[in-house]
Amino acid sequence: MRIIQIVPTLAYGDAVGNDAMALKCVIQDMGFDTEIYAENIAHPRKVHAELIDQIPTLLKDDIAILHLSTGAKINNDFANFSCRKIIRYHNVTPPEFFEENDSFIADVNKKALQSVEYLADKVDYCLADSEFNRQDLISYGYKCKIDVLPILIPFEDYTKKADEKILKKYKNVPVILFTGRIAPNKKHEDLIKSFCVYKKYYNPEAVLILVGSYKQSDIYFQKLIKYLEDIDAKDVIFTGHIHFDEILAYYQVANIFLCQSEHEGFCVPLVEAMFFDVPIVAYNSTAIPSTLGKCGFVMDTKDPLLVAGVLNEIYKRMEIRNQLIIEQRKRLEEFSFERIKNQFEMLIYSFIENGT
Amino acid sequence: METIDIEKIMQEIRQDIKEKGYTNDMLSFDDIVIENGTDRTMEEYLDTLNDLWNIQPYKVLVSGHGILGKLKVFLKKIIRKTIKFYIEPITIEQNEFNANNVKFLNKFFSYMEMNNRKIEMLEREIEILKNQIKSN
Repeated sequence: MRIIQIVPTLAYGDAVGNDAMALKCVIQDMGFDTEIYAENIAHPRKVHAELIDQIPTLLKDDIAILHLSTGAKINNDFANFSCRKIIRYHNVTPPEFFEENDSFIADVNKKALQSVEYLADKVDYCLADSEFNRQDLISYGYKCKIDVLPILIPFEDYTKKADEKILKKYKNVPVILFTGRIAPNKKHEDLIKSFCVYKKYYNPEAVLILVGSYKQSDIYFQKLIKYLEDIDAKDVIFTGHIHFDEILAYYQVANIFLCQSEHEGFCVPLVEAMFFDVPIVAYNSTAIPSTLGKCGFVMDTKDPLLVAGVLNEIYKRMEIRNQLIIEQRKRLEEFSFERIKNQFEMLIYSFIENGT
Repeated sequence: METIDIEKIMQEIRQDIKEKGYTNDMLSFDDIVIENGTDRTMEEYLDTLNDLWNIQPYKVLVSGHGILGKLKVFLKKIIRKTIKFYIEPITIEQNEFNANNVKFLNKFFSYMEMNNRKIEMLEREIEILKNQIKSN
């Protein structure tokens, strides 16, 4: 029996791709014949994968897992697979976030949502990576069993050596950090606003580091750069796509992780911040509260004055910082590699035996 | 401290902001306008291509400050001379390709404009004929 995974794009550093690669290792350990098939494979690759057109003939007892997060031709074709079908649902960023800046991506995501709806009665089982995503599938009319399985994160990778230059440069600098692709749903402008107020009134030495890839031609990124110029913002750094050891270093030097995102299906960076004991301040939206559980400083407002005030309180008051870290460490246990791995194995065996 | 009382902290922060008179009168992000490339006409793109097709292999070397700056420029000149044999043929080929591309696009644009005029004329004729059929 085969268990294959299908992703639109397999790229190292992308949460969906990383999840697929980690699950592949688990499926291999379970003793099944497995492979990842992708429409696009971007280097560098940690794990071997094949292109979509290499998918072998699947038998009715085989299992195909489609990672659903964006528009792709394979999404609708998946309905015609003759094997047992599972959707691994990561959520699709609503196209409205891209209407103004990138009509192409808006269109891709519109098609993705159409596929989500189309597949509602054509799959056998779903694994949503958050309760928020599970509810989303239910709203699309999914009647099959849907279990929540958080993204599988190999934390061992985070113990690797961090970039020394960054560690040295920011050793005694107050760093506010956010990690995530430069995309309109992540609301980088709100991070900048709150940071500027924080820097102005509370901590002139502070630096805002925005780790995440961008394209110079991207309208949203250009708007952010222009915004920085127009408000005369200082010490806001876009790192762009960087090496893994540099990402590790930024987490190690960060004093606070600030998230103002308005749409997340899971938000791996929150778990990364937990791992590195970086206190989290986050806006209460979509899957963020379910990933954080009871930890982190979750705010219902984005008022820059209030966010800046919170950053100040956490930076200055050790007791708040320590309590946040204690709660985050407790929450982090829920995402341990062994725990999620065991959960996945149990769910897959149950599906194989009972069809659910 | 067992659990964090978020509400209490928020109240303290609000009070602090009020007492200190902190305000936020920052420019709104929604007011930022970037000229969107997709709003340009085909003619505007064609004009840009007609201006940009010919690539110069050698950019002007700007002299930096002091002795170090002059030394950098000198070294750049030497490097430029040593790789000239490699860079120039590539640039010449690229410019030939660019020139043919731009010539084709200019011709195609003219062809398209001619066809558009024909289509407009035919649409007018169809409208006239439709009206004639209706009145009969």
